[in-house]
Amino acid sequence: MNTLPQQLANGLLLGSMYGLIAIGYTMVYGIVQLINFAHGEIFMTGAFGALTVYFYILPDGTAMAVAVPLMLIGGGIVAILIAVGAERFAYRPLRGAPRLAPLITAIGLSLALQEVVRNFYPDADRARAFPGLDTTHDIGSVTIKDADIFLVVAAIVCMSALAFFVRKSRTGRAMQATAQDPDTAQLMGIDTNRIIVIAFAIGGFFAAVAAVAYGLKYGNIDYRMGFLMGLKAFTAAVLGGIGNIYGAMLGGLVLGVAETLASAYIDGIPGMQQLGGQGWSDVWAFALLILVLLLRPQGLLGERVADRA
Amino acid sequence: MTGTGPVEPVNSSETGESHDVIGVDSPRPTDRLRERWSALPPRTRTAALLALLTAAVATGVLLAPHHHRTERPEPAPWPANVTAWHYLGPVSPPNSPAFAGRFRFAVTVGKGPPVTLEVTGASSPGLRARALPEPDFTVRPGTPRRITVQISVSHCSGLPLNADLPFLDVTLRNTRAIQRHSFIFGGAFSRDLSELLHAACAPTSS
Amino acid sequence: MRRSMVILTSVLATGALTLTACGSRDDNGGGDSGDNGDSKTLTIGVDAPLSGENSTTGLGIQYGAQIAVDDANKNKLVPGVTFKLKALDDKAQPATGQSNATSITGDKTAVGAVGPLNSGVAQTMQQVFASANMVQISPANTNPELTQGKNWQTDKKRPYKTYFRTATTDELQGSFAAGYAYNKLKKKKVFVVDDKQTYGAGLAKIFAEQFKKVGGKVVQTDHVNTGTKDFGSLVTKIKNSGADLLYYGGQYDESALITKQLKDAGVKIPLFGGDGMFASTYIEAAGASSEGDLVTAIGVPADTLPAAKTFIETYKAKGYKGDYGAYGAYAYDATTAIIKAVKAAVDANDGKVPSDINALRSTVVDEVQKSDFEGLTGKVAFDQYGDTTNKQLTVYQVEKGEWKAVETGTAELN
Repeated sequence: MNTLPQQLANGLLLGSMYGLIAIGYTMVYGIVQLINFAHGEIFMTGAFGALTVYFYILPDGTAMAVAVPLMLIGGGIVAILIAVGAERFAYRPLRGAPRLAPLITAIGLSLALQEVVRNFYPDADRARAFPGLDTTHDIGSVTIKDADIFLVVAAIVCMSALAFFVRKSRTGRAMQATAQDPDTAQLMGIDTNRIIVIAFAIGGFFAAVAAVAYGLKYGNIDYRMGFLMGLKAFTAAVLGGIGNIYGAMLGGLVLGVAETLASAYIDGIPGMQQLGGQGWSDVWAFALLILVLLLRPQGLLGERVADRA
Repeated sequence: MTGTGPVEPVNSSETGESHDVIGVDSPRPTDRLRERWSALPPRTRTAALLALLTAAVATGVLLAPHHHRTERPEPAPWPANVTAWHYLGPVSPPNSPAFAGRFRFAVTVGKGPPVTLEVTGASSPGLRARALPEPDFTVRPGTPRRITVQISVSHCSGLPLNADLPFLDVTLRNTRAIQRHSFIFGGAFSRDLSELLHAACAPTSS
Repeated sequence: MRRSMVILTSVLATGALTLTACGSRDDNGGGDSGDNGDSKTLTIGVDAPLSGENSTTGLGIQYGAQIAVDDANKNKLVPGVTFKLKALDDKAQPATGQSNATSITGDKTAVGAVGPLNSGVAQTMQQVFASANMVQISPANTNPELTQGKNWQTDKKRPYKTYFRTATTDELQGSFAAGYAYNKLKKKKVFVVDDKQTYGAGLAKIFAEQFKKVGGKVVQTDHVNTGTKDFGSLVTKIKNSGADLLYYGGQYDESALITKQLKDAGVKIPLFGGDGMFASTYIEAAGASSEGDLVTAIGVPADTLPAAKTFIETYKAKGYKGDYGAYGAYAYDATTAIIKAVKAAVDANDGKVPSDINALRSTVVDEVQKSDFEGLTGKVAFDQYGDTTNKQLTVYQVEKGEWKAVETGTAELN
């Protein structure tokens, strides 16, 4: 059996999820040059927001076709509130401060969010079951399930909407302008504070979409889920060229596929058994990152020289 | 365990403990108390005595109802938890057919009702095992029983010749339950069984 | 004079009332220096993962030990001594375990420790307890190296005389699982995965060796990282390998995800694991996908142990979190072994608690080695390596969303 199509599908699915989360990193970085390390936790709270809608608000036995959109809204609201709240109360007061201060604040915020969820969300200290979309479909030699389809559709829709928004809408163009030069943009009459809030909100919403997809795909969520996913998504953002939204998605896909293929095939290469398998997939993914950054320090699609970073 | 212990009566540690509580512990604290006691002024002594008396009565009254709580008879233990096997060695006659061997075991039952055992199999589907002369036998608590198990090779294909930890499948039955249980052996039985398997299935190599 | 008498009387009366009022309660706060001049509080440390990964079984250890301490205090097992539990969370991380061990040995009232859950954590703790000459009994560690040394297969040598365990080893667990998989489940081709941790990798290796020895075939092996959530690539490999059984050495956190993703991908082969997976959380997290999956666990099912009945009732009545099923009763027995050793030390010292804590700790180590009593899980005694002499195992299978015992075994090695 040729496993390549299936493995590619696995990689693309994982990569779409990385990409959705990476958007949040890249937009915030593009506008305020802040690496929002709490973004992984915003993703996590989005998952718990969606879970709350499913378990504590909707009546038992709600059809998934009804439940999923509502969960998206619930998770989205929670993630947006937390992202915007973090911007307003944690990052904005530090806007003029040295770059290290908001970075450390982000790390502290990330720990705080984890502990809040662990301590105050019922049973969150271990895996909490999340409703799944587990019906499977065979397409040729590839088996995928409903949750995977949801993820792909969500990624495509979100990405297209974002591209349209940034290019065509007034706010989107204001956003581009702010990213280019915040001071000049402000002088031109753009309310940069509003733009920054919008960037955080969009990042939060995308994270919530990824979180719902995550729950539907893996069937359970826990308070630590944001750490590793956040780290991978950040890597994806850097890989694709941080600050570039298409780069974030591309970086996510490349990272996901690289990880999957490394874990699937490297141990099949003679002499490489010791360096293959799932356990080494992260090593190969980061080796790829290092390689790309050596050859193209600005990332795959990055254009601007990292003058301000 | 007792072999490495200090000089101790032959009693098990369980009975030893209850003796200690009553007999050995008490004198020391009383000695001390007596010293303190005589140092106290007479009035204090009376008051203390009275207080102690009140306390004792109160304690007695409060604790008394707890004492006659109904002691339910302990239910019979599950057979697997009280049955133990010990390998003694092979039965000597070597001129028995090469595809079968006999092994002696001591079986003990710790407590509870007697346990009836039936040996139903050994390590591998290629092996048959049964107790001799009767396939099932009963062991009473406290009296170990020696039994012989005959293991015969029915087919060699796929038979592991050097299994590290061979086991016997035994059905255990007492008034509480019927359990299927494996008794796993290391060391001597493993070697002896593997000798038999080599003789039966790989005669040239031995 | 009169005032002192009034004070004395009131103190005694208060003391008496406190005692009677507390009656069956566990700790009565040390009390005053009234008539029991020797009353002393001794601490027993507990180290286990109490939050996050593995915490379901870790909490079972904590509360198993708690019940043992409560029982000992209630029954005044050691006259003049009140035991106190100090439970520390190691988050399943070796470094945290080590600092917890240091914190326990640094406590001048601590006489011994129960735990940890993870063999990898135990490795970092052993040295700390050995230097402090303090006894450590794990109810859950199964890696053979911990008691029999690095070369346990060829040359058994006990590395630390302060380390004991009430759990049996993976040598037995892996062999038992291999025998069961090959002979009873009739599985011939196995895919072996482990989580690269001390426990998981050790167990998977033993299983693979034994499975080959009994005649089976290991078609492929792979390793995963703890904390990983996406096993898509692994699942595709398993699907492609033609294996009829997946063996997993590790904890339930990852294996629950693996079995779910495996069944979702249409690979209907059972997942077989070790005692690290034996928790209700596994079934909760994997849902219907876990049906038919198997584990080996140490000991016999707790509900077949008459002595454990009260224990289970207490555990449920107190509403303790976690799962007592895997190690709760073993933690109880481990704690009781320490308490009984303290009692032996006190008895040997004319009924007084030795004033030098180091002397007491050292005596307790010796006395634990000599343990021989009927615990909840059967006879509690240790061999020359510190391993339990009670070597029992059970195979459980998920049936209708619950772990059900399908086979039990007792080992008699020698």
